[in-house]
Amino acid sequence: MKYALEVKGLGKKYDDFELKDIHFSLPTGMILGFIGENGAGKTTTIKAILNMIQLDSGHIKIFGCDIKKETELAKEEIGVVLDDMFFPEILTPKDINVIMKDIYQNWDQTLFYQYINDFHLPLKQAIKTLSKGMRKKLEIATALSHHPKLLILDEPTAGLDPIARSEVIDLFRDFIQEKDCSILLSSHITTDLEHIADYIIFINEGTMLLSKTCDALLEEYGIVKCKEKEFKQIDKKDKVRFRKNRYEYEILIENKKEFKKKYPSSIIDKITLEDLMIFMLKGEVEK
Amino acid sequence: MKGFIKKDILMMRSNLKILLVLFVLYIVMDFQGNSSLSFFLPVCSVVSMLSTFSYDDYNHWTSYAVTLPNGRRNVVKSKYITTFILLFLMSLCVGVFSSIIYVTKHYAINFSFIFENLFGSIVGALFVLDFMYPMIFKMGIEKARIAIFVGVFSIIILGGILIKYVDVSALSFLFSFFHGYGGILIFIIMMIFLSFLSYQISMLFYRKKEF
Repeated sequence: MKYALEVKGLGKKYDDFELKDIHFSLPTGMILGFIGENGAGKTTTIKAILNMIQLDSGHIKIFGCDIKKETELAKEEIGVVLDDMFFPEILTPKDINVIMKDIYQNWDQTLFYQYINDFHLPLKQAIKTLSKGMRKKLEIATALSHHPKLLILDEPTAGLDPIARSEVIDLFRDFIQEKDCSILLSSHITTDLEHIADYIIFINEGTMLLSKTCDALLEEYGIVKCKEKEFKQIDKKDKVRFRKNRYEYEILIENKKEFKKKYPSSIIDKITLEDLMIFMLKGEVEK
Repeated sequence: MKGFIKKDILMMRSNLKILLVLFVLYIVMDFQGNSSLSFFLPVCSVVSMLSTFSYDDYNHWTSYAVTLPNGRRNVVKSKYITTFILLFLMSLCVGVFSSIIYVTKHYAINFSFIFENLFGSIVGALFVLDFMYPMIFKMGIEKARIAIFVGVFSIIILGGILIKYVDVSALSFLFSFFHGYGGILIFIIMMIFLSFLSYQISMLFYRKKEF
């Protein structure tokens, strides 16, 4: 299997935060979704991949190239959207085209203008006059216009209204249809990831909590709602996390089929990535 | 790297109006004999270049630029090359307009005077920028501004102390040493060396910088 991105044993220590042993691989043609709450280490991992910070430990390869040794080779193949980092806001989309065609060898001016047109962005207006959503669209257009093979996107749909979000998600779907193109996508909007991600990595306080295919997560995990009496009858090891509210217990379970066999009368609800995130972070572990 | 230089030049468009107003002001002052037009060059080149750093920092361009091909190297290199381009263009404008002022006043054009003034201005601007760039690349424009202010203030105080307690006339041999075309050549070599040193230090800082 060919990998667009391989991360092994990634570690980075700050005074108040530590990224510990992050490891994952992104096969070409796939989308990997990165979830976790604010400050969990998603952006730090992305910065490490983009060589914006020095690693304390670990190795990162992009299309087989070690980023410490062959950084520049890989950068031609990457399109990037970062949270709150872009061109100075006095420049215009037209300026960005003028600049980028001398930065990327494969910069496609026609494609860039096509995106600008599709997104209804003004060509000669300074970035500072654009709305947050329009700026995000411009960042995405810029990231896509040199025919990258790997997109690294940190909160690419933040600030977009539902219609614009859907347009952008469709754009990512189209991108992935092209041969050997892959996406690493970090987002708080977990519903977006449910629609397009093949793999999900859940990171919390600098540590990986979960790493599975999105389908497996949504099929295997479930939520069981029950009263206290039933809760006590369920084996401790079958409860990944639980939450107690006023009238009932909600239990996060890991293997729906096995659970149903063991407790035939139970009703298992489907789970969303948001539920999973909330349970993993706010749920209790039975002692 | 061309793209990075273009970016800085395109950003300077926003300062163009104010630069033109200042240029006209300096022309009027020069015409009245109150100042030399060449003083426009160090003031405006330093202000223009620093404003590009401010815009870069404000929108975190430098972090974004690191993700672009050869980003780290080109961010530093392009600032130095843009500085040289800017100084060249400004020198050209100042030179032409200084000559026009001579003609308008019905004087014979004193090319050597214009050249010496321009040369002094370029040396002054380059000296300031070569001194500032490594600090900006290390600390960012905001912190570097404070460091530069402290540095300039210290130099003024030290200068004051020097004038008060040391016989400055004894140092006049230094000025005679730099006189004439030989002196200009020495200055050119010194400025090339200083710019090279400044660039190397900036690169050293920027190569290790985390974003």
